[in-house]
Amino acid sequence: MRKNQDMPFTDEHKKEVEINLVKAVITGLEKDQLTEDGLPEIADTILARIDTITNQDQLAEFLTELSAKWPIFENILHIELGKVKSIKEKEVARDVLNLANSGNIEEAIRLAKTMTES
Amino acid sequence: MPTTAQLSETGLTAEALLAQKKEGQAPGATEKQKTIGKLQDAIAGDNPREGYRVMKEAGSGINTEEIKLRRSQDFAPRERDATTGELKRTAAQEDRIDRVATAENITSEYLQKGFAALSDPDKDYLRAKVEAQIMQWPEGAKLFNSLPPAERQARIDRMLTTEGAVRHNIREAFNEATKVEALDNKDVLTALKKFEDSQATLKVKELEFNQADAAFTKAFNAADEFTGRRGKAVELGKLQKSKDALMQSLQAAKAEYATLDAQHKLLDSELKSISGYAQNNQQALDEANRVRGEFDTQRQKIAKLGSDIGKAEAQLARLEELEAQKLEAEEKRDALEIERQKAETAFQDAQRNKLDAQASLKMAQDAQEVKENARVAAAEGIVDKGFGNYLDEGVMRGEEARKAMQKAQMEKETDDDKRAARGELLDRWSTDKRSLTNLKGETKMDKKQVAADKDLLMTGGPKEFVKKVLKGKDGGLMSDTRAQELVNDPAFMAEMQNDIIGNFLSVAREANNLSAKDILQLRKTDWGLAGITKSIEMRQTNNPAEVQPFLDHLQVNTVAEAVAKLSGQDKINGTDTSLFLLFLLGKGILELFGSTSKDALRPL
Repeated sequence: MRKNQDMPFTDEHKKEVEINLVKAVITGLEKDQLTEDGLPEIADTILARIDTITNQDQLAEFLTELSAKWPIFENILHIELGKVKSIKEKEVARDVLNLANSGNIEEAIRLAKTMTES
Repeated sequence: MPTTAQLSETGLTAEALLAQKKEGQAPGATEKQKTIGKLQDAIAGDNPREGYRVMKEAGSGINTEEIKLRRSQDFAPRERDATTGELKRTAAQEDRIDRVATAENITSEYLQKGFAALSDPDKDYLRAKVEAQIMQWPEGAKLFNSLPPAERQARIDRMLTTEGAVRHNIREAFNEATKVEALDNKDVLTALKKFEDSQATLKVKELEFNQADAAFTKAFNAADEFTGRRGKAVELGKLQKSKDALMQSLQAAKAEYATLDAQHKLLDSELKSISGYAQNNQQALDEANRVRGEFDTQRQKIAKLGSDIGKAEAQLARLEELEAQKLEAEEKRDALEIERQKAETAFQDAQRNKLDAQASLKMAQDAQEVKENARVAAAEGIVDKGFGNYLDEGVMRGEEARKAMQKAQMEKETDDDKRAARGELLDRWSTDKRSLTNLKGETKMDKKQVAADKDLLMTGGPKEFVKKVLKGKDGGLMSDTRAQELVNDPAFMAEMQNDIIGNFLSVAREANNLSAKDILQLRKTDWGLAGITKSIEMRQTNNPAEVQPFLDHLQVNTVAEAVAKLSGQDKINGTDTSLFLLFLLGKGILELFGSTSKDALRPL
């Protein structure tokens, strides 16, 4: 099974996350969850980290820190965590199928359980 | 057009987004709407980095052009250029506007673009301001003096770069300094106009006086010709002196002339009657010749008298003429003297008016200078004030924890007196009243009350101090008698004295009004040591992680053990014991400098 740190953070993905970050800021402003005073600090925080992220684990860690300070980013964190989970589930499903096809039913069931328990 | 994904993310329809964008671009849009509009543009351009740039510049609410215009209005020209006649700024004004521009430009750049985007000299300007503020706090000075320059700068840079609260406070101070009522130099310009008018009037009055003076001098000199031993005076004197004699001789001459004239006519008639027969008569001829000779003599006398009369009359006419001239000269002189006096009075009035106008102008200029200097001080003090407020806010954050603790204790209290006392501990050292320095009515530390209470505690001792607290900040909480009864009640004091003093020491520490010297004095008394212990225990309850490193450092388990261990020695691991206790009471301002307990434990 692939680890999250093996999942590269591509330029396309980075841009998508960044667009979502800006959109979250817009929403935060509209809903008065943010004031304009706080925007430079958010921009500085994002810019200080975003280009150092190389994999999904680092992205999740960054988004967790960001969300802890500014809850408006929680949705993006959940979206990204959801993506990781979805990829993991697909990979596990494929592994379960492979194990079942090879007659290793018990192992296939154990692996399937790890996903449902997580 | 925004993509579907973008729409679903923001939860807005395309129309709503477009409407929002238009709203953000509309002339009357608020700063927030404008920022949202710019962020939408960044998304539409698929350029989140542009979005970050917008974010970094947002929130300052600063209109650079407006501020520049405001500066030029506040330091509007108020001196007349001698060459062009136009109004110009004074040299001092030019210096002031330059200083304000420097302060405002650097601060607005910082607020709009962030610390990292500033030039090195501008960064140094802000660093120096912040460091100066930090150095005003004794612990700040001690901490920063103990740090290598690079670390010192790194801490300041970090505060200016990442601390939103620092930026927020500096922005508030910036707005306060730049959005107050504009300076008005109307009074100076009015005074200048009056002064210039007075100068013009003075010139006219001076000219009029000089003309009147010249005319009077001329008239005076003309009249003066008739005084003293001057020509006309002498001539007039002589004529006046001989006037009577002249008159008499003229009358006599005229009388004699009349007699002679009658005789002359008689002789003429006689001569005519003789002449008819005198041709044949020698005697008659001789008589005729005698009469003719007498006639000629008489005629000569008459001629002589006529000449004398003419001379006398001419002299009298000259006398009359001179007298008339003298009178006219004197009248003219007197009239012109009045004119001269009037002109002199007007000239003196104009001189006085000019001096008055000059004094009024000087006063108006001085008043304007005071206002302009205050404007400079406000602009140059933006960062100082903003950072100072940031520190004050930090102090109040520490107060909030103590207050929360006291509130909980107060709510549990069943005894009315103790409840009242705990209620007093809640708000005694805070103020939320609006004032000139607290326009928003924010809760701030009442440093004056803290200072007064500390003086009372250190000089009056625990009983006086507790009694004062029981009577309340405004003196109306308890009567003097009741407060005295409670102070004399050992049971009440056993429970409340340490709490009251402990609370106060925590507040005094937060307010930076407690020194190692004060701690040394308190350490010498049982009540002082008990108060210190209580205060540290309160800190331990609120934030054990802050106290534990000290206990570990001292290798003790409780605060009481720590205080007992420290009370018997002057130094602990190279640090003054009183100073160590001070840091054990609280980090004070150090907390705001990104410090940890390591800073407090650092040998100072």
